[in-house]
Parts: sequence; C-alpha cells; structure tokens
Amino acid sequence: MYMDTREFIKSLVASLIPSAILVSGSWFSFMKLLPKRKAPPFRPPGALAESEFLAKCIRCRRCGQVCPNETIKYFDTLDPVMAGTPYFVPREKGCILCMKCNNTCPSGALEPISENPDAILSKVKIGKAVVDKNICNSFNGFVCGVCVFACPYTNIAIWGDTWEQPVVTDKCVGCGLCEQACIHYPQAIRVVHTVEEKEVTIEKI
Amino acid sequence: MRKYRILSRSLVLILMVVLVFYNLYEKKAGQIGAEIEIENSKVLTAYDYVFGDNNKPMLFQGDFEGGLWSFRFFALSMSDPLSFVVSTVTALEFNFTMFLSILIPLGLVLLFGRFFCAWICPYSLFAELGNSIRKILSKFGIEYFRFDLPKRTPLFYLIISLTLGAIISIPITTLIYPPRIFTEGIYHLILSGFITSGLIFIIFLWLGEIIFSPHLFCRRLCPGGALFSLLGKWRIWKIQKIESQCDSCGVCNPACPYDLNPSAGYFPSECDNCSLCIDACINNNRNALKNVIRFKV
Repeated sequence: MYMDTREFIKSLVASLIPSAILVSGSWFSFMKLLPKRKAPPFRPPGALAESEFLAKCIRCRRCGQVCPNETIKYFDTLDPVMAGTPYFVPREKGCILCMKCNNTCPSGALEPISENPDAILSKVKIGKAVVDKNICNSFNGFVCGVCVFACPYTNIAIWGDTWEQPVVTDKCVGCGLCEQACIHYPQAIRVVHTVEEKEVTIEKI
Repeated sequence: MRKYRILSRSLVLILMVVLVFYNLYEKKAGQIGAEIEIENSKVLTAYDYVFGDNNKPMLFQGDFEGGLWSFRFFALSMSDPLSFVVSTVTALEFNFTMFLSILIPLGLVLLFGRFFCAWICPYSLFAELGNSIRKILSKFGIEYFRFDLPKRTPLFYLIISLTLGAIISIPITTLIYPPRIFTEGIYHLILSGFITSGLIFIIFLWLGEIIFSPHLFCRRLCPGGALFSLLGKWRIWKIQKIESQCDSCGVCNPACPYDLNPSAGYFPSECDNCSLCIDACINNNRNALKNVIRFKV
C-alpha cells in the first residue's frame, strides 16, 4: 500500500473533519447531559455500568423489539451519546422481568440472566424502591397496599406491615411495577438508583 | 446483473419494514385488549390475516427480530462485522458471544469481499438512483462540478474515529453508517412516527451526492466499506478483463462508482462487484469483462 506524503496528509485531514464533527457533537451533548448525569436513566435488567454500557451497546434496537410489555423506549437520535440506547420510565411502564431483552442482546451490554425467579432476584439490580412516608396513603390513615400486590416478589422484596404499610427490603430489584401501580400522585413509592451499594435516599433527590 | 442487485437490495429494504411491523403485531397480539388497535390499523389487520390464528400458536412467534444492523432468525444471530469491531474497540473488551454472531457475515466478506455494498446495503440503491437522476439532468444540459475526497479517506476515517471513540468511550464511527441508520430509522418511523436525525443526514447526503459527486459516501467515507475492503483482500469473487476481447475504449472507467480503473484490468479490494462496468462495456457480447469466481489469483 504505497502512499506519498501529500496524499497521506490529504486523507488524514479529510477523515479528521467528520470525526472531529462527531466527537465534538458527542462531547457537546455529553457536557449538556452532565448536570443530568446525577440521575441516569433506568436501563433494562442486566445492564452493565453506565459508561461501559454506552461503550458496548451497538444500538441495534433488538431489546425493544422483543420486549412484550413495550416497556423499553429509546432516546431521541439527535443526541449522539445516548442516541438509540434503551431505557424505561417506571412510572409509565414497569419492567415485568421476563428476561427476553438481555437474552437477545448481541453485544453483551445487557448480560444474559436466566428466567429462574431466584436468578432474577440475585442478579437484576435496576434500582431500589423507596417509600415516601409523608404522602403514602397507608402511612396516612388510608389502607392501600397496591404496591405490595403489584410487586412480583411480594413478601420477599416488599411486604405489607400493619394497615398494608409497605416495607421495602434489600432484595428489591427495582422493576418499577410498584411505582407504575401507585395510586397516589405524585408517586409515594419510587424507584431510585443504587450507587455502589450505597442507597440514595429520597431526601437526596 | 444490475436487475438482480436492485431486486436483492429492494428485498432487504422491504424485509426490514416487514420485520418491524411483524414485531409490532407480535406484541399487540400478545396483549390483552389490543384487538381494537389491530382492527384500526390496516397493516396489522393484514398481519392478523397471515400470521394470526386463534386455534394455533402464532406463526414464527418470537423467532425473528432486528434489522440489517443485527438480527436473529430462530437461534441464528447475525451482526454486522463493523458492529463487533466498534463495540470491541470502544469497550476494549472481547465478547465471545458477539464474535460468534459475526462469523457468517465475516466468512462471506472474506470469500466475496465487499459484496455487502452492492447486494445488501439499501443506501447504494439510492446512490445509484441518484446517479441516474444526475445523468438525466446532465442530458438537459445541467452540468454540475464533481467534488472528490482523497483516496484513503475511508480507512483513515475508520481508524481515527475508532481511536477517538475509544478515548471518549462512545461508538461514534457508526453514527454515519447507512445500514445502522436505516435500521433505526425504519424502527422509529413505524413505531414512534418521527424521522430520526440519521435519516435526515441520509436525505441531505443523497441530495448532495446528486449535485456534487455521485457515490461520494460509498467511495470516500463509509467505514463499513473500508473494513470490508481490508478484509476482502484475498477474496475469490472478482471481475476479470479478457485482454483479447477488449478494445481499450475506456467506456467502463467513468461507469465505475469507486473510481477504479476497469479498462486496465485493475480490480482491487475496493471493488464491490457491482458490475456497472460490465453493463457499460460495448463489447459485452464478447465477454470483454466478466464476473468470475476464481480460487487462485
């Protein structure tokens, strides 16, 4: 592959221009997103850590195509960093933990998890549900318990105390079905991120 | 040959649209109370007629999904080789499952070189259409100047964007790669009804190619094409020139979208066997140029 210096420099410059545009675009949107980075989106079950996930995901949209509940949504494609990566909003549609998305993922950005309930309980960690006792109906004189019965792991991840007051345990996987089901507005039970095993309490949000 | 190529690429495009609608139908058929949505949509009603049957399980239920960029049919999962390269370099981690999914396309590329561009990529269909429009316009006396980039730009773009992507750990290389853009564009056009920025880029690129330079993207920027050219160096499927039948008229040279030199018998790995030079050849009946599979170079 013979090339003279002039052609080398020409090709270098010509290929640097689109690369520079794309990199600066990504950087710009990354900086724009930085303030929002404190609350990253909720990724489908089995997702790697955020930075690894963004690097590995090939944006093929296969997870969204297999999702039977239409839970998984995609970011707007104007933003080159997040563009095309899957996420879900627990309030709109919680994850039903069917484990189809991570078993179909070709890139390994979502790690495959078997459909066994125990495996799901031990491996899935999307976040954790947190109850706001100030507004929760059950803590304020109205027996409700909707979140307790919406949970796929009732009595394991969440259990109803006296008057169905919800108590979330450490086993909560953060699927968001309780948040979707909550009848109080704004939601008295919410899914929050667990950052390095350290819980983010509702006060910090 | 050109007929078959147009047919093949149109089929790919149609299949991509059909697949997205199929997945939509699959979901709606599985949901309780979604019958009204199926009835309201004409396409979904047609799918219901073909695939749905109350007494039997659905045809192909959960058996295929995806697009051109990455798809699965039963247990066969296939991805674009470029997606593997980009994902591996950006994350600096080798994923064996993904490597298995690119094996078949990779083998085809090693055997047939850059056939992907001429036979599967939907953008080349539009690029050729644009070239025809350009020719028609030039018949009416509308002449445009021809803009070109240096020869090695695709390779440099591939390497530089991969490096920069690895530094900021975001896969920027494939942001301008048409198969990916078509996959996501069709998905969002059908399911959420908005035109993605990738499709807008493709539309502007296409118009720009008509005005300034035909096949500019495929020739001088496409990272996938650069990768397949590299891999297809020892391919067995090549166009051959038969010296004794050739008049050296040079009609085939301007026909080549990749600015190669068919009249000199020069077919390097950038050639995607599009056979436009064969169509242009006036000695076609004498087989001055022909598409051949050879096991020895």
